[in-house]
Amino acid sequence: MTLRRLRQPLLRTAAAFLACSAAGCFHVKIEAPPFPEHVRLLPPDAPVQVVRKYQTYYYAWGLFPMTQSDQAMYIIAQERLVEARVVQGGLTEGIIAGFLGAIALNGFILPQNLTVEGNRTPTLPTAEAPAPTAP
Amino acid sequence: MLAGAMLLLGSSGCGTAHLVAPPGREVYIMQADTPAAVRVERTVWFWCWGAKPISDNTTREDIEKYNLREVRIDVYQKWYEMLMNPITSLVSIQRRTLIVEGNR
Repeated sequence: MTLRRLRQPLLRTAAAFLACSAAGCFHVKIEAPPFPEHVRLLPPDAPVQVVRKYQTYYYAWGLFPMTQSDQAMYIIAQERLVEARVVQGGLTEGIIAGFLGAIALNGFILPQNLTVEGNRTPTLPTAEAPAPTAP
Repeated sequence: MLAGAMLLLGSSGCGTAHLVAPPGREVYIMQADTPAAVRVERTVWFWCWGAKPISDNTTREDIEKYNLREVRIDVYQKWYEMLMNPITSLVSIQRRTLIVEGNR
């Protein structure tokens, strides 16, 4: 009888906790490595030689990255890219987060997908930016 | 039970943000320590648990609008998005905050 009476409040508390802890407050920063050479940003349809797809992990609901070495700027540096474009997010992270949430404390470990694509040699022609438009 | 499973799987979502240049523009990725003259913070909405963007999830329009020559982005969830997303994900809606910083 007592258990049955406690069931509803317990379920509500569990649902509220799940809802609050489900996502996270990760910061995914996409920046260039601190090299003197500039990395040119590619348009979405430009052909690329290098594609790196991977997950970067955060813990404590996204507050802290597990490692700094898998941030986009390090991958750009590792691959010696002179041209790059980056996509953050994707379907896999939702599935992994759901799986991790089911086996551990929900949201405590948060995956984020990163796709870094680029070229080691310049492929784009130099183009002049159009003149600034009046605000 | 079903609601719990839906929350668990749907709340994290899979929205994407694309750091890309508009075609024909010479734009560079900005370094972390470079001061930025332009800072745009906007919300990106998705449906289908992040699979389909409702608003622009790329940097193309920001680069064109502010005539940026170098750009960097920061994708994150604010504390209230962390609370909102599990609720709105019941109807497959998700949101994220995109910060675009750059120089002309």
